[in-house]
Amino acid sequence: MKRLIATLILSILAIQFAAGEQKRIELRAARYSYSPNIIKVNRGDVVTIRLISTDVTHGFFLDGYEISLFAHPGKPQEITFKADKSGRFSFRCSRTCGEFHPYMIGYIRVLPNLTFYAGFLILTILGIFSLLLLLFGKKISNEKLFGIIPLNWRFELTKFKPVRALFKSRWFPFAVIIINLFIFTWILVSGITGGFSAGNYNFGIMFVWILWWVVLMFILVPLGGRVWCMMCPFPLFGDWLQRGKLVNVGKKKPRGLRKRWPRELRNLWPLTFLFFVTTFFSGFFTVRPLATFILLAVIIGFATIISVIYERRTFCLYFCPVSGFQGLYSNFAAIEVRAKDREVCKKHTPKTCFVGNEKGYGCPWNEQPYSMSRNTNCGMCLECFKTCPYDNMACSLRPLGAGLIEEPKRSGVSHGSQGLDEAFKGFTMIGIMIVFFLTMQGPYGIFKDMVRAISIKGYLAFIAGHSIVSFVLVPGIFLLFAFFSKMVSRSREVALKRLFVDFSALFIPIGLGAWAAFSVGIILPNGSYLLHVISDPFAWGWDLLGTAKFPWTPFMTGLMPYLQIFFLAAGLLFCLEYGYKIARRMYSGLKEAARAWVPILIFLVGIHIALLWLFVG
Amino acid sequence: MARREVIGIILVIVCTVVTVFGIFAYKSVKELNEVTLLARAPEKGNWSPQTIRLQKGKEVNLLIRNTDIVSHGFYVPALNIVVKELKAGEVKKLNFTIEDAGEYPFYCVVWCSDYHMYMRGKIIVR
Repeated sequence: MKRLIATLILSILAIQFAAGEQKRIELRAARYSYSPNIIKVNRGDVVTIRLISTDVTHGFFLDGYEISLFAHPGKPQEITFKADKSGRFSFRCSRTCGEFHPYMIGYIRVLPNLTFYAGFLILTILGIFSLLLLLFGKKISNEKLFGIIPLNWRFELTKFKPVRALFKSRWFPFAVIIINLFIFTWILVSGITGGFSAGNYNFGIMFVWILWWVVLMFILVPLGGRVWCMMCPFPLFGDWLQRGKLVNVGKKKPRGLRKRWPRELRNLWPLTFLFFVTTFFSGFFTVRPLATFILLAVIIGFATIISVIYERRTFCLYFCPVSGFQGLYSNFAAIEVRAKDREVCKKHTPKTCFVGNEKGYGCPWNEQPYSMSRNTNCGMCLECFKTCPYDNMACSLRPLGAGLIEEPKRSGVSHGSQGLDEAFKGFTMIGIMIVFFLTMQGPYGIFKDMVRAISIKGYLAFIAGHSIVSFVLVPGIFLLFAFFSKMVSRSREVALKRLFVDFSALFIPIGLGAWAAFSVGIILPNGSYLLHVISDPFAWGWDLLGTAKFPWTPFMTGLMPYLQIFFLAAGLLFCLEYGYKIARRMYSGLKEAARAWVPILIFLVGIHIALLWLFVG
Repeated sequence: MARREVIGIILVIVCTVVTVFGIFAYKSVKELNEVTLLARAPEKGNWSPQTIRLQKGKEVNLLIRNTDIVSHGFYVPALNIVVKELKAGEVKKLNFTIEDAGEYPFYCVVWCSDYHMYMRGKIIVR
């Protein structure tokens, strides 16, 4: 810490007196990396970049400075600029050079990296402040978020008559699903007609991996939980086959084999595993239109087949690759569907919300809406609003993260797994984020070659390394801190496993903050492709909305590091706020809870600083 | 009640089957008077077609589509027609009329692959 402050002061002084040096850099560009891939200069230097393309035409666009040039092979080009902004800036290829072109990136570190130091200070101060509050704060409310908003605060949206009428209508969410069905038809057609061409001018690739993913990670999941599941068009055909009706409620028994999903697998493990396996192919389906088509076709096909074999939405619960993290992260969401008055439900038999009636279907997600207390498996399909004769279901706004301190499932449906499935979903999401960042936004060509499988050996190394990060490294480090937590607490009250599982709920805000920071680096540089593909979705020379000629224009790339720091800090803030509450839920004594909490607090600050280094360091 | 179901089914069909047919119908109507030329690196299929046959004195709408993953260019020296860069996924429309019969070679002018020099074709005007 002392050393850091000393370097900080020295470096600030250094900037004041630094005289700019002339720096000349020969930058060799070959698919899909630069050499040198990381350039270090000092603030104030006058930097000349000589770009030499050695295979095909490559470009150079520098984030933050927003300067660019390109060079054909054999014709090097130069650009000179004054490095007057400090921090780490990515430079990226600006001429489509191959399928991994959007991932062709290098770094310039303009030292001293004040942005990183500032972020470091913010995160550390948050941690220290939280610790001081714990030591000297008179009374930390366990019932309020940041000591202001009561955690049991709810604002019922369905108390407004039009909203309830909408939720009870059979047209909703059907109408939204239909709109998405239309969009996904375009995506599928563009995927199959796009074939092996570059993904960055493909409607399907851009809409799925840029727009949909980013909207999901920025808005839908943190605020709306599983609201995407509500409007997802993929299970439509399966539902239709099962029910025999598309919009209406059939009188006949549901069709299909209606098998029940095995008890031992009624948890997040299948989803965690399937999503993880899907990420092995990230180097294909994020860049090749045909690969995206195949992925989506397989998902739609599976969704339909599984509905014929298994009951209800077994596909959504135990197969859909993107269902797992939505379920886990929806515990953070600011929205929930719950029964209003459980007394009303108790007297009500049969439970129409579970078995269905003429107004709607029994919960397709196999929840018991009358006693549902967590968001994880609520697909927000709104059937329970339709089937409840007492209008006893409510959709309410709640404080962000309120679901984090709901008891994790410990008994009932899950057999002995005791919430480890949710813990590992949280760990793997962080592991995947780190690996995705290194391969898609990092400067290391070797990783990119591994991911796009130019050699079997490299590809297997990627799979092995990726799995180790997610299933060993991240959980291992966390287990170590859980162990410290138990040691320091000097109490036998709570078992290590419970500490490990319960505190792992904090991986939800960590993950949301980290994925938001990750998404910033995707949408700002590449969002402008959307304007092109929306006018010329199949690369047939169309210009539907007049924006087909809009060139690739990175947007506000200078703002990127600040946004990333903001999201990480927000993630840490929620971690610190809820972490201590979780500790207090586990321990009967305040002192034990506080002692057990401190190692976890250190872990949280540490992992956020590590992520900060990944994004801006 | 049954009406709602019928509307729903119609909507699903419109959003899937009809949409797909619509997309391809619009494409074929648009391309009725166009000659399409695909630009791809030689090892990925080269210019397609490599020989374009045209009538002399008749205006042609040439649609060059780069379906590759690298940039290409299009250059007909004898006619002084040049597209300096056609990015991957980009489509360029050219309008021209050739008055004299003969053979007109064309080339790619962006270093697109190791076989870039083999990326050539010809327009035959009769």
